[in-house]
Amino acid sequence: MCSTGGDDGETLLNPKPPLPEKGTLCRKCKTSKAQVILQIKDAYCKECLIALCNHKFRAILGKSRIFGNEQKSVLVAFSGSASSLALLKLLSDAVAAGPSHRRIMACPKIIYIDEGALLGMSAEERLTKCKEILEVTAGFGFPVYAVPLNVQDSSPVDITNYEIHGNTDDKLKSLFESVSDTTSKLDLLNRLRCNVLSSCAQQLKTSLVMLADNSTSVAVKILSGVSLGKGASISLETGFSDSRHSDVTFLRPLRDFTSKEATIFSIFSGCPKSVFVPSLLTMSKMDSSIQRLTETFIVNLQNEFPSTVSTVYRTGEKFCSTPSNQPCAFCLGPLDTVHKPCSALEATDFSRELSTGKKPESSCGSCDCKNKLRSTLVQTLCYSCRLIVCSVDNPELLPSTVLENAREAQSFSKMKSQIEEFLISEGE
Amino acid sequence: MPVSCTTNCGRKAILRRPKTGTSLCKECFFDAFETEVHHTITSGKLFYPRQLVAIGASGGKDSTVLAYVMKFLNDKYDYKLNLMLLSIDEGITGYRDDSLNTVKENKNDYQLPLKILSYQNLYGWTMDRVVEEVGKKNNCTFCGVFRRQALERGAVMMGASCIATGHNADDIAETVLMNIMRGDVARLGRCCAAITSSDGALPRVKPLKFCYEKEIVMYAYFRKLKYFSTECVYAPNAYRGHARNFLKELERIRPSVIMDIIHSGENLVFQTGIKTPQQGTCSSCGHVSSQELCQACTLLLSLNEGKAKQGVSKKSHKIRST
Repeated sequence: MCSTGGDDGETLLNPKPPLPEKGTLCRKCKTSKAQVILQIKDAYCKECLIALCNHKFRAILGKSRIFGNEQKSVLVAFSGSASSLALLKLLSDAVAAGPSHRRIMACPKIIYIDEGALLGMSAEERLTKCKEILEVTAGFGFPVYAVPLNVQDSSPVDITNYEIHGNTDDKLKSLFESVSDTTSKLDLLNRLRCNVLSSCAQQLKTSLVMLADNSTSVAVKILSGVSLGKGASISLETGFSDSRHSDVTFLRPLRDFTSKEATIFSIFSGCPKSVFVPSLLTMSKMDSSIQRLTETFIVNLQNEFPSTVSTVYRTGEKFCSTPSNQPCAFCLGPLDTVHKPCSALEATDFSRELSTGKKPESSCGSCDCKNKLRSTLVQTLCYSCRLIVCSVDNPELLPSTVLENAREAQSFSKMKSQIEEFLISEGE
Repeated sequence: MPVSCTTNCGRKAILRRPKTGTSLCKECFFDAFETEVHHTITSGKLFYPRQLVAIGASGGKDSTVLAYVMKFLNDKYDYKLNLMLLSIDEGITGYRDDSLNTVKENKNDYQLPLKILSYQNLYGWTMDRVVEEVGKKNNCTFCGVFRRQALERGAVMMGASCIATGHNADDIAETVLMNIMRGDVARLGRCCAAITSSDGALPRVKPLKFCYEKEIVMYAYFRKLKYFSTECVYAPNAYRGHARNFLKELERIRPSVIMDIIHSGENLVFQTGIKTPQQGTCSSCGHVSSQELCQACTLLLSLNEGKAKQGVSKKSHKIRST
């Protein structure tokens, strides 16, 4: 509608200006010929690009004050992608740097999550992938671990000793098979990955996990997160640090790097070639899931309007999260399911009631099923986790930690309602 | 095989609701649609008794359904509102003439007073002339700014104390996505409210806020409401089109995405310390503005001086009012 928002029709973002000519000098050192162009107009030579990336990386970590004067161990989640390699290389150089070059006092450990069971890969194929991962990471000199993606907790082992166990895979396969749509599968996969990384970090006595999200993937996560109802927790899913999991903090030091920067850096700095590891998204059609659609949309829009990714990224930087007393039993994020007057949630529940003539108590409250476990579970989940759980046919297959968190939340809630009249509320 | 209405009223279902996926008969659909709008109005406390409400009427499906439902609910639930239709003539030949005729029919059908204001009278420029001057890319900016002020002025002239517009759930979800893509944090914080009011300007109310666009069409179709259904001839080149297509594709994958996006928009928390523009008044026309000259006066100035293309460049984006 034309009157929505006022000045919506204009093409705010100017279409692509012409690229610098070949033979242009590097804008930093002005002596060597430029070999790469970033952000349309910034031309750099190889050495300056490497220096720029190193400087940016160390500045982000230095500013966060996470690493002080004593060595801290950090678990680096490695997927085989060019961004993962860039992260490893940047971290490795930062650790080996001299004290006057902003050395980072970190003790990295590398971990690879084997998700082959989900895609029906054979044991042989999965072990071959592990070998390929070891080949590209061994050169950095850090210990490399592998862990299978699992519904229940599993332990990280040295990648050279990694073995496949059929029965743990079965639970995972049953869970994913009982999920009706790809969008929910991908969201569920993300949650499981976080849980696995958090558990492994604790077992390896590390309180920090580094992820290789770059600005493009962050922009995609922001937009797809909004579409999945994650408004309240987007800043945790895409921000620099995420401390939802007790004792473990997730970091995204590469989020300021475009995917182009990260890839070019990994090539220029002599990293081994990236390892292709198939995933649920591989070769999927554009309309198979919200995540894939969003990625296609942003990448295509970026071609026509080159500041798309950076604008979405910077908008995302302005979000934050308010912690709630009882976190979501699944994602541990803030609960955004209080019925505020004239809100989308309230309107949806009202519509459902009207259309089916059912009262909320007889249904799970989030969809039209009658599953008792689901209806109690759903009360302890945030809006977007409810969407995932409602697409899981058999909620008993969910991770036991989630079910336990839910039970705990429920009993606390019962206790609170019993003593509510005697509680003195803070402020207000 | 005949499907029966899921409310178990016993009647045969004739449609499936895009919003909930349930199958309903005609009567139950009307009832559900109307009750939901009533619920939005009461839970959002959108109106108060004896209020004069100007309904922005363009002759399109949203405003036609809005006018019909507001009148219906006003009678059924005795809101005690004084409803009026307010229509703006942008001066787009062929498009606006026809839709204005529809509005005149609405006036007769619903027995509501009607006021029509034109850009020509208010500003001295029709959209046809603006497009001749500015070209086909940035004209939506002019129209949007002019219309907003025109609605405001018309409502004040009629003595109304609020303006009701037909913005539907799809519009709001689209706006959330657009504002993220444009980095407009100030608008993002406001676009999900059912009542938007900037100090000094009349509050704007969106009773159809949670109605899916498809259901509005269904309602108009089954109620046999007449509306004008052509897209504005100048619309195709708008940036908003990208967000709209994206939303349509999203809806195909997961129909609840429209409400999910609105939910996200409502629950976004912003960091403190973000600069928001300050409210003041325009030195030329006295309208609410965060700059010395309000948007409409700025654009008019550029049109009259023949420097129209400057009005919508990136530089002027910084001086936009809220």
